[in-house]
Amino acid sequence: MSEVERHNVLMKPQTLDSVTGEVLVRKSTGKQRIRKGQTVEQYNEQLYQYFQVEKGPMQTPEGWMSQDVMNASEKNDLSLKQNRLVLLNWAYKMYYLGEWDKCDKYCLHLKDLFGPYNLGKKKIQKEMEELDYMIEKCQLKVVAKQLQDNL
Amino acid sequence: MNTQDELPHSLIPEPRRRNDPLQLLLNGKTTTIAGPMVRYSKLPFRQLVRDYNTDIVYSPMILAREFVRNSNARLFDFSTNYKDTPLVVQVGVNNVTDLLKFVEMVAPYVDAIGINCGCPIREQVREGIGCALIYNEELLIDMVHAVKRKYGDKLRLETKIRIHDDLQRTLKLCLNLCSVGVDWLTIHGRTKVTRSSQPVKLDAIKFLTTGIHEKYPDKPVVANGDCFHLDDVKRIQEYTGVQGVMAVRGILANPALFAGYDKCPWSCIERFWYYAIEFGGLPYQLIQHHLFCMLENMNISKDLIKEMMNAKSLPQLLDWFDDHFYLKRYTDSNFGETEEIPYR
Ligand SMILES: Cc1cc2nc3c(=O)[nH]c(=O)nc-3n(C[C@H](O)[C@H](O)[C@H](O)COP(=O)(O)O)c2cc1C
Repeated sequence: MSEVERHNVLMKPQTLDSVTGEVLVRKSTGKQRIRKGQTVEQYNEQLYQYFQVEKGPMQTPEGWMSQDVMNASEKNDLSLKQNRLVLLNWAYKMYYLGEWDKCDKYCLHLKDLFGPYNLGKKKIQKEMEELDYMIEKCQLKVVAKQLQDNL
Repeated sequence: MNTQDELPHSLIPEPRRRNDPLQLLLNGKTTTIAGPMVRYSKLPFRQLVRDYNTDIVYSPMILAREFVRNSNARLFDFSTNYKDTPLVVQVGVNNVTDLLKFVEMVAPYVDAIGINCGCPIREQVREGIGCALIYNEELLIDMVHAVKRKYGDKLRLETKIRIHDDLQRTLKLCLNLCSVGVDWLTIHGRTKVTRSSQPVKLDAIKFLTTGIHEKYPDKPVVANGDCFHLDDVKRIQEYTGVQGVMAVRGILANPALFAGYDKCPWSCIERFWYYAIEFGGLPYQLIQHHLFCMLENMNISKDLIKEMMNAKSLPQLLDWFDDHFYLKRYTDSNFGETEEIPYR
């Protein structure tokens, strides 16, 4: 068998069970690997979760972020980065719009919320530092604005 | 027992088709398409290119296996909104079962589904995903057939392929895909091993398009490869006879490509910032990389770009932009309209 043919054979997965989607793939060494299937029950659970609970994919039209949405999102599992990112985004939006006072308060609130998950994990530490950065900058901007208003 | 009988069908919405990509491809004008990019073609970028005359936009490739099994993967891989149309969601898949499940879950929120048969990344190819599928014709045809048999005209299905060394083999594959009902074909005129620095083979796309149209005169074909300027759209279309032209690296660097801008206008930067913040969900490195690609395209000095890459977080990056440029917010007048770089 030529090198190209051998390679092409290796790339052909074989469906072992067409109900669950269990598939046999071969690694480049020729070793076989089974990619486990998903039972009908497991899939039905996902369907329920996706259509009934998640209501399909996340929808983010312009203006979707609000204090109410954020209050509800605080109840999600904040050990997941993607869920923390939703809350951080609200802070980013205030920062982007120059709402320094509101942003400062919200970042302090997020520090309290994220704190319990900051167990030495590098990535959460980065988020905490980011919040500190925003808090510091916001406070400077607030003071600068007050000085300007007093002039 | 039939798997389908087990599914709670009443819970599942019908496929949606708000904007039919097929109608666009058949309207006689050359359709402009922003192709799929793993990591990059997420909602903020999709909305940005829609602001600049892009007719159809792809999502990044989403792995069916993960999507149908894991709600965290879903959350990370796909978000959308009502303006995100016409949208083709691209899937990476290596078996009929996962594909049917994926289609069932995604079809209610998109205008078409595309199967990735072009990705040359080794980890995917080893799994039989992406480019592997053009060497596994039987499976690819089975997958297309299964979806079209189940959904018929209710769902649009596309395949994005690379070419073989032997173009007759590619033509045969294309004709077989047409015979099982694929709605349109996108042809990236490179083989599995051609580097993207090598020019795309327009001769091959022309040969295949001609061959497909001899047998299926109404089947749209889209050409992909080396579209960097609006002039390229015309040149590629005229040379190959395709119905649409897809840009990928070109539109990553200059999202306003299809609006006729030769270089990325500043307005893209302002709009991208707005969409990235407003829609959320993009990891920081990704936002930074998008901005890097655009600034590089605008010929901003290397030293400045290097400085930008030193920013460690989104607020730092925003401060860097505000320190060096007048970056308008969407609440400002003339937001997202300036072409020139507004240096401070
Ligand atoms: C960053 C990046 C990510 C890509 N991801 C995908 C993908 O998810 N699916 C796919 O079919 N092709 C993918 N491709 C290939 C492109 O869609 C396209 O076929 C290729 O870049 C040639 O087009 P171009 O010359 O216009 O860049 C990717 C290319 C790049 C540069």
